[in-house]
Amino acid sequence: MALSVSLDTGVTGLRAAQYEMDTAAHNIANANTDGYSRQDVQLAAVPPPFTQFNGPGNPISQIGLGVQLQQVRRDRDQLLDTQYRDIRGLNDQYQAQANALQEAENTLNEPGDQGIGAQITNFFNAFRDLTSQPESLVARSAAVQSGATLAAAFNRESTLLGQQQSALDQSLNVDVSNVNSMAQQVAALNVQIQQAVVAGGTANDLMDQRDLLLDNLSGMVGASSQAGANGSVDVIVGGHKLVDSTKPLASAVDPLQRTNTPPLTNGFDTITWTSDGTAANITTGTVKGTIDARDINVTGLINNLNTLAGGFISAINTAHSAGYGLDNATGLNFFTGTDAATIGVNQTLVSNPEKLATSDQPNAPGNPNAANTIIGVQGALLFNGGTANVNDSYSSIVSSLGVNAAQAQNLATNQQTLLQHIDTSRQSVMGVSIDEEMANMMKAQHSYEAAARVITASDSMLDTLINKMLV
Amino acid sequence: MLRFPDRVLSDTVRFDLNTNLGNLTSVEQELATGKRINSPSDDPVATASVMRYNNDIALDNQFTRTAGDAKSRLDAADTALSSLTDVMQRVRELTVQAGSGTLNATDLTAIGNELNQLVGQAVQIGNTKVGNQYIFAGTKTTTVPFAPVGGAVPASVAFNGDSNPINVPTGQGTQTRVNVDGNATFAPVLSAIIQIRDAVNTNNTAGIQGALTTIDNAMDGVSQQRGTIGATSNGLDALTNRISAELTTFQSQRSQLQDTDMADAAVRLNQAQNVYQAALGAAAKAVQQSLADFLH
Repeated sequence: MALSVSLDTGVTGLRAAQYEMDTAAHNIANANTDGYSRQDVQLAAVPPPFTQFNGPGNPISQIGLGVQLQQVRRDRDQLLDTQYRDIRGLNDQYQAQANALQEAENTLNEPGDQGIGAQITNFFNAFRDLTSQPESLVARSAAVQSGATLAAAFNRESTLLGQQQSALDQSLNVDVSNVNSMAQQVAALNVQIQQAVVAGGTANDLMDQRDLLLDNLSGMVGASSQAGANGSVDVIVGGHKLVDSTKPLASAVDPLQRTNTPPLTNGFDTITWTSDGTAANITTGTVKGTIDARDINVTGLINNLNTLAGGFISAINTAHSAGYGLDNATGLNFFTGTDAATIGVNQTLVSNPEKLATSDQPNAPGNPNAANTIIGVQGALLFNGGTANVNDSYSSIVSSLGVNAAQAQNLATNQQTLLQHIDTSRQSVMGVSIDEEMANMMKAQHSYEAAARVITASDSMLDTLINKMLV
Repeated sequence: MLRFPDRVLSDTVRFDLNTNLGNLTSVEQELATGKRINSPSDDPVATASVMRYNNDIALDNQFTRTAGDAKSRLDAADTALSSLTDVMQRVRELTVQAGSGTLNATDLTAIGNELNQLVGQAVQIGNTKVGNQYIFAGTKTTTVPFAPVGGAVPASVAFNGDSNPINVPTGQGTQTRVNVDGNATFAPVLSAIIQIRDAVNTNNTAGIQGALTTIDNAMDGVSQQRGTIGATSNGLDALTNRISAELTTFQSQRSQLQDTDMADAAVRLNQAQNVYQAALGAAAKAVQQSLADFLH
């Protein structure tokens, strides 16, 4: 065996130590990079060359030729990734819903002395005060004003909830374009990864980037992924391929879009697939939570307030229009409008409080019976199918919002804890440990020194052979 | 071997610190607002009860106020009717004097004049106004109810009000009448005084003596009215007392539902602070060192 072989073997050792050092450096550099998986160097011994002169029977042929790099592997557990993404979809869904419900709770501002509940009571109490002095224009104005305050409370909450609904809807536009852009990045990464794999390599860092995008896509729309050819992945949302790795890059993504063609959901644009216009079946993720908050929670709240306001308006108007004002005006409505958004006080009464109907007979200024009839509306079981009065009906709206909000918060908290646990397990596989890398660095350093020493020793042996023996 | 990369440690620290800080914030909010329920989701069932109590308490305060107004109206009526009784006492004295048959014409003329004045006084009492309400005009509270007909010596008194009750709400579904029937109360009195005056002026002794029964009957009528007012007024007092007891109960029940138990919250705040500080301390110590510190 030639002396120069140990030189070459020594060089493979140097190179291997260099790979280990480089990988440790890469790991340390990316210790805090989101989605980065720890990489480790897989080395293999270079077997001895077998030739016709140097067969397996020759003991010399049993000496290998050093070390070679087999692959740089990323440490990742696919099963944990799948679990993480399932939980991530639910977590983000409930989080979005809980946030929206909390905002709705802030809008209602209950239990308190500023909300609709207190204003309903104030309204009836102003009429109770009025019964003691129906002749007084001051007391009449106060009663009319209490109606205006109540109407304004309904209007304000209706407007705020409407604004919240539009804001949720707007955020869907942002979410949809984010999803499309992430899908585009996944498709582009697919191509790069395929090229690397076909060339016989791995593309660890690109795969990390893609996995991070898949995490985020599952958080957005509950996307799942399935492996395609040559390291590529397909991204699937509700049974439909968002990214199809078998198609060329230009057509690999089937983007989501907002369409305003019927059927609309609740008056808002639907989310459909661009390719065939069918509705996207999004079952978890931020988008699902936002849609639920918009269409179920906030819409339900607005509808409930509208029903309450509508029933209230017609009951008060029936009672009021049967009565007589100080000037014997009769047949007037107290409220205008039909729901929480449109309720207002009849402006005639605001400018002419004497027309407010307090008496059930003409020419009887001290007669408070019409006011008494209006007061009677407070106790009347007009709502929830004849089982609740106006205050109870409003309380039940508030407490059912509370139940929904508490439930969403609990679910979000549970999912968050679960997600944290799974992420910990995931990180314990893929995370970079600085201590570990330090040890790897030391190992690489020592290997390098030893390999260098092999080369020095070979050098000196060659020196001996060439310069000392032949002289 | 389970690995513990740096990321796990920092993520866990962040998650735990967040959780602890969340607990701390919620206890602090309870203490700062003094309320256990700051939004419906804090306790949906208790929220509904709190809202019901809020309404009940506002109603009770209102009923107390309405009952106060009603009582002052009834008191005004009672004071007026008490003055009317005084007038009638005087009428009765004069009737007895005039009917004794021992008076001369001058004295009788003087008594007739005084009786005519007393008619005026009774009318004035009937026109008692409290605030902007004629309290004996029925529901026509802005109309002067009693108007003498026929100049300085009126032959009769016209009633321009009505006999309708004024009922104000003093409870949920219950009402209290706060006026007396002005016509029914004053008409017999006024006609009795006019009848006696006319009998005195015409020196009709038999008529004068017969009028005594009429005036007694009218006085009985007024006493009955005052009795009714007294009973209603007592009823309102009882109501106010009952409401104030009820209010105390409602307020304490509402407080139990929505108010922070300060001692308990203070203890919980302390615990949350300790846990948070411990977590901070542990985090600071744990992340302090790595193998890098020991390599040269």
